[in-house]
Amino acid sequence: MQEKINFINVDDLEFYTSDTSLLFLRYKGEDLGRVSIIRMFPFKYEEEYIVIRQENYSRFDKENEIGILRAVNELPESQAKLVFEELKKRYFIPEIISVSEVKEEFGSATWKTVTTAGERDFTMTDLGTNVRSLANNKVMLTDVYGNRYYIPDITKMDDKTQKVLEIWI
Amino acid sequence: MGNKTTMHEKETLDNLEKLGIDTNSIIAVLETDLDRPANYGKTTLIALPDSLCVLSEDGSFFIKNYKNITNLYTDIYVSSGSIIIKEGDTLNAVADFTLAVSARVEWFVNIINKLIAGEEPNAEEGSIRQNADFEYINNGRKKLFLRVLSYVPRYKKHLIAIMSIIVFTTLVNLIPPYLSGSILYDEVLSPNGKYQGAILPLVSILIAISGLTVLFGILLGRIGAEMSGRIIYDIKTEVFSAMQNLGMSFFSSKRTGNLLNRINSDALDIQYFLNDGLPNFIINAATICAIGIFLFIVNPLLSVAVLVPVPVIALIIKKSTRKFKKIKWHSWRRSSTMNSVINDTLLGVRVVKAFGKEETEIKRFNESSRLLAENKVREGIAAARVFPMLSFIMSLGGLIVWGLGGGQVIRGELTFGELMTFVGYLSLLYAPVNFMVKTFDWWTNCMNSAQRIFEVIDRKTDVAEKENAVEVEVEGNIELKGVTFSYEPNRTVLKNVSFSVKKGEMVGLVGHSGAGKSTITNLITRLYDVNDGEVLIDGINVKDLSFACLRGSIGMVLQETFLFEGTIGENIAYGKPDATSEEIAEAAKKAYAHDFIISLPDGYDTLIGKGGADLSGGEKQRISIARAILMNPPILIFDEATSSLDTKTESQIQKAMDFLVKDRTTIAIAHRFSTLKNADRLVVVEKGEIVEEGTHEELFNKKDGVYSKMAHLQLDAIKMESSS
Repeated sequence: MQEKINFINVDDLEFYTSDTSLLFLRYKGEDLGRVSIIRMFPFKYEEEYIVIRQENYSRFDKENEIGILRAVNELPESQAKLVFEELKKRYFIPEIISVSEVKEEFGSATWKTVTTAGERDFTMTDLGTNVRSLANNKVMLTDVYGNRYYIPDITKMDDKTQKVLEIWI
Repeated sequence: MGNKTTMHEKETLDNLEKLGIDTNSIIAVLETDLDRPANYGKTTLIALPDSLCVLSEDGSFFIKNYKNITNLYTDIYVSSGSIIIKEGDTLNAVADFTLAVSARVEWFVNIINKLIAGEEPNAEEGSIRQNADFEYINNGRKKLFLRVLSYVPRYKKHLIAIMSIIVFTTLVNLIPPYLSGSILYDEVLSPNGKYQGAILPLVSILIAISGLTVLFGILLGRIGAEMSGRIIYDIKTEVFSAMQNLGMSFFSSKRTGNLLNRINSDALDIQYFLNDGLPNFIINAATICAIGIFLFIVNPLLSVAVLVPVPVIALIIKKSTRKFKKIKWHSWRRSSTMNSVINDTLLGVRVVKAFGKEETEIKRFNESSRLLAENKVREGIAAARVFPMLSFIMSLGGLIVWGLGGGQVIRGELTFGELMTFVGYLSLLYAPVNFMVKTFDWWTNCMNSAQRIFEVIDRKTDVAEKENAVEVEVEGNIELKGVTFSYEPNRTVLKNVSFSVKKGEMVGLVGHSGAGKSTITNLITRLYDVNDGEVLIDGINVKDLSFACLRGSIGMVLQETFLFEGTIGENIAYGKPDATSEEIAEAAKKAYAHDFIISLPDGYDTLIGKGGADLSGGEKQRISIARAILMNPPILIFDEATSSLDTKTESQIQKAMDFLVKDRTTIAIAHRFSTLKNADRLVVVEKGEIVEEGTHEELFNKKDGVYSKMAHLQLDAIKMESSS
């Protein structure tokens, strides 16, 4: 039974991907197959404290955790790139670049936006809980399906958007 | 979405025909909303009888024959997911999607896996489960408002009375300014007046009118309160019964918000609006119109001057309302933060003291209290700025009238009395304007609340009783056949679970926490419906049984005993309200609860729940066992508490349970060895699948068995405890 957190030595890691960019890992020379990577503090650190876990993960088998990567930047550039790609996929939270239409009615809001991942329309309800303001004017929105969107700086958004969001922040 | 999808689908079908695929053979189509990881777009997956076709937006495609696919599954990330295809040992992602389509993805992946296994899939679109915790239904402004109003006509008499009083009051209100203006100055005080010197009758009339107004006000309040009280009763009853009939998933979902609020404050908002907002809105609107017309007839020039400040006033009120709302919301947030600090510290006082964190908690409280105080100051400052400004602008209107009107009086175009009448009406005019703007705010609140309430009322229950549900005398045979279940799309909790329990048998469910044991019992009691497979009681699918019959046949002793506010006696009789006092005592005696109950000063009449006596865990358990004994159901579900109790209590509970399970079909989620040994058979659940079945002895001695490992670990722990 492993009682101590294993902070991984980056030299032991060798990530590789399949044709369809699924992430696999050879650890200390042993092929562990597909792995998942998880941010320990997703709001606090985006590139640090990354848990690496064997894919066939179940919550009963704690030993599926391979260890913790202190910082993605410790990896060689080509390896770091693979991890960043995987993080981008797993934590798919598009940034809202501009809002072309926002309508607030009866405590819910419908948005037509352009995001870093393309155009997107979505609906939010219960704005009190689904608008989460973070430090430095950052705002996180969660739509009715649980999809998240991210506004890096609310003060840079158009007036209408600010007006809809300001009272919830 | 309907039309758009068909259009897309048509396009897709055309493309497929170009590829030489027989479109008539298509079993199911899935369109995702990402074209690659983290990019919005579209990938189309098509289930054909012998293969899966994946089409990209750019027209490229590939086809996989089911013979080569091991299975298809999904990976769910933070707000997206991937569909993964497994071919032998090779894994590949075939498509990506966001949570907006996850339910459809689940449905499609199931179809493909059935096709791979050579089974008949259920490709009906109707079998797609609801995607969001609640689908957002925009009722539309007008429809919503009409629906709120639709509660009113049930009380026609009240309504007619209210409307007549409103019309009458409005008219009566118009009289005093005329009397105290034109009549007083031009006819009573003026030497050539018609009613010269008749000051006493005039004052009497004015007093009578204001008395009448007060009387009507009281009457309006009474009738209004009666009507809105009843309306609110109707709405609350409707919401509450709608909630009670909804499936468990509604209560465990995250986005349903605070349910207590829906019943209470949302209903209150509607009442507020119907009671105060609406009648006053009508009165004020009528007043404004009447005064406007009257003023215009008397003196068009002056009336235009009077109306000049109106839009300015309306604008200021509208702007400041928004600002006030924001500040108020912040105050509310900050005060709830402060309250939670108080609450945390008081409830967790033992932890605070044990860690010596009193100073930190004082600081934490001071900080949140300071933030709240600051915001209260802001609230005051904002109010201090807006209201004087408003009264200044209003008085400006008066001054304009004095100035313009004074000139007219001097030139003899207007009598002094007429001018006074004007000033009088002016004051009657601005108050309603203020009110009208505020009413708009009320209206918004009311509509928000109505939207939330109707969402609950309109929500379809996911576990519904069949129309022609049957009632039978349940004997107690239980069978699960190929049951698959997940609480959320794509997160399977039970996989193809099959086992049966014969009448009178006791089966222990064993497994690690989270293995799916409680889920199995949830499906037997039909708190949730299976996704696949069936649950049978006496050979009848639970979906065909009436709720009364099903739930009346199953008794539950749960880990966490919930006691309702009331007496101990009432709590024991919860499942059989018509039980006699003797029966209650008999059940308590058998549950080994009688002794501790009668040692309480108030015996069976002891109040428990909020503000009542505090019972220990073991006592609560015995009350819930007494509940089950009294109910005497053919089937018993027993979720054993994991927490250990003192030896005496434990042996009492054990004896009570021994009595309870006798001659009853029992499914026990068991942890204790004594319970496990007592069971006729054990069913071991691991990661949502049944891995072992047999008696305690058989499984305990099975080398490398899951149960054997678990049991030995537990034994070691017991040994370690007793040796230390």
